[in-house]
Amino acid sequence: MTEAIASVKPRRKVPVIWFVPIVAALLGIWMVVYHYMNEGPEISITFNTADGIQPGKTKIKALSIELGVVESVEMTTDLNQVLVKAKMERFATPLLMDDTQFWVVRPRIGRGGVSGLETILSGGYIQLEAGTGKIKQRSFEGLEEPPVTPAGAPGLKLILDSGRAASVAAGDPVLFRGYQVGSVETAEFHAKSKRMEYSLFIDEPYDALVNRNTRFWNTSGVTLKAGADGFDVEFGSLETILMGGVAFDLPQDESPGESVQDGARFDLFPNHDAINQKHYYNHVDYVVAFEQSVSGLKPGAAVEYRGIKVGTVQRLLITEAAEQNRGYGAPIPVLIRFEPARLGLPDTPAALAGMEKQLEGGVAHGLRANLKTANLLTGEAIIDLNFFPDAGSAELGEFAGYVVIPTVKTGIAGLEQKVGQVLKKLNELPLEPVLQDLSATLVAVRESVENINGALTSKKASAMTASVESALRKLNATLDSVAPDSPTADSLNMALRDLNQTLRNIETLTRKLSDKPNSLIFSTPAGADPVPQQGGSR
Amino acid sequence: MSYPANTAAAQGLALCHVCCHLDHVERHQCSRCGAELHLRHPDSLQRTMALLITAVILYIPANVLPIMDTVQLGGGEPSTILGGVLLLIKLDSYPVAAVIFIASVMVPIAKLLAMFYLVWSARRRNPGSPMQCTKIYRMTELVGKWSMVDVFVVSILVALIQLGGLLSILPGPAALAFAGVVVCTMLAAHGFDTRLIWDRARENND
Repeated sequence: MTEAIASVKPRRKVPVIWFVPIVAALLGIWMVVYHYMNEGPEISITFNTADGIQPGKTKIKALSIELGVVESVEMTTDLNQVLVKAKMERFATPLLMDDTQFWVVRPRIGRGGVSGLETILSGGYIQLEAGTGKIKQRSFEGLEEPPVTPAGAPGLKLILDSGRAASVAAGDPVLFRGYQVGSVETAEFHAKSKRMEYSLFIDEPYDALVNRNTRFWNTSGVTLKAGADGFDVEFGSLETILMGGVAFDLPQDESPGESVQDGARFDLFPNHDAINQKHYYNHVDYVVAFEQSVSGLKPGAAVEYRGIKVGTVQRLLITEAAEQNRGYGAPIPVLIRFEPARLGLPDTPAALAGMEKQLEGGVAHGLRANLKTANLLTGEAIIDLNFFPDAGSAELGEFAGYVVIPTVKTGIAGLEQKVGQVLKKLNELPLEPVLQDLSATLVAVRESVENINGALTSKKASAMTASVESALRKLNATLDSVAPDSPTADSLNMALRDLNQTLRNIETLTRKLSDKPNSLIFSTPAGADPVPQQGGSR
Repeated sequence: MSYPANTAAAQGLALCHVCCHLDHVERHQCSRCGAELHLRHPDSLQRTMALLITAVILYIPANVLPIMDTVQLGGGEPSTILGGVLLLIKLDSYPVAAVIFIASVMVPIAKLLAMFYLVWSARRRNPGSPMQCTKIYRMTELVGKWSMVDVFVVSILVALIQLGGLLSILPGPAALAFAGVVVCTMLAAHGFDTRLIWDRARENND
């Protein structure tokens, strides 16, 4: 049997309970350290107004997630702006880059609709929009208005240049065939260059639609145009009528160019037509000189070859004509520009040279320019090139350094001229001698008539009539003897009837002879008498 | 340590803490239930002290951190205990502010101070009146029942007011800390062996 030996342990000097405060203290210390370790950066943002910003309450949010809270709102040292200091969460640190944007979300009613309604009750907050920047930043400049496109959004930034302030404003849509693919970010007028500059943002994936040959035009409102080819009303969507916008597309028959980089510059064309007009690179200028009125001929008017547009009128060379001082009534020289690409020819110098050659050859064969009224309502005139075989051969002239194409007068002006010519010719006809001849002839005629009259009234003539009368009477008696009821007529009738009978007999005979030529010799055998049968014939 | 002759302790008897059976201390174990026998709670003062210190540590986050997060129409507004009291004063709700201030600030602090005083007087050479100490202890016990009022309010509000984005109340980290303070002080009060007060008084009388 073994002795039970109690194992005696010395009492712990420090009871276990002391772990509780130690753990609590450690936890507390750890919390404090953790807090300071995870303390986010402090940032400062400047705004023009502190409207809606409350220290300690206003949050800084991105994607509706709180990233920080405003700690203080004070004035900047120049007392012009508001300096908002905010404590950010640590996880928000990567969002604080040089292109990060801040703006205060307030209820807004603008061109783009109503926004920020939720802030009516909950109070405003500061929206943070992260960019793609890589440089750390802690002080920012707040935006007064929400940016049209978020910083760092995928897409393409473009700059449009315009000579006039079209009705395009920031926030307006950028349309491609009526579909919104981006928006106008800013519209600035540069006082120095006196030009409008618009910055556009094309969202991905539509940025691929933009290339070097793309042309932008202003679709704002309604365009009503009266030109040589009639009236033309053009308007975009209802939205663009109300708000304006920018549209882009490739010009007609243009192939896409190379892709463009951010910040590429484009011209803003005033309307859709304009984009199709200005893109011929190879052209040659000619002069056509008109002796008639050039009323209705405006710069930009069409130059057509048999109805196909080949160029445009540039301007009237009045100054040059005045310099040359070619006397009164000198023809009015008009500068026209030929663009072979309009005919579908390649836009190359070679095609241009070919066209020049054709023109020269054509002129020798009667190719002439003439002025045509294209629209009787508006009186717009165009220049038409056509072959006039009557015009004969001609050569190209020269005026002020330009080649001159000979002209003919046609149209109303040409008609006038021709009528004038006819009248002139009529005027020049030798009518006087003809009339004198005519009156002499008439006198002679009258004399002849008088002679005939005299002859008719003479005695010889009356005797002649008497003999004619007796001859007629004799003729009458002869005719009476053969009247229907006279004996001569009766006998004549009888004779004719007999003759008829004889002729009929001869006819039967000849038929019989032709059927049976031997019937003259053999008699025809008589057939059996027909016996009537019961029930009728079968 | 000697005990007066007219006490059970003087005769080597101790009360079992578990089943209240009077037994001989030398047995070390209760002859009825087997629990360990002690004349006094072992390390009573140390335990009380440790829990009090824990409560003090926890009292810091309980007041610094927000106890309640009122989310109103999407905008959250965390509030601390003192912040809430100040807000109520600003809103002229003095009675409510007073209730909250008493329940959440004064009572825990008073309790902590009272317990520290008791521990201190149980150890010092010449303590004050044991009667007075006992009164303080009774008051601590009485008040301690109500010290959870704050946590109670928060938990009820959190449970009742949950209207989604319109208005909802979420508990803050301070609520947990505050609950910790209350639990620690209660345990400390419970762990404090009141007999020590009288032991010390008798020693001094001897």
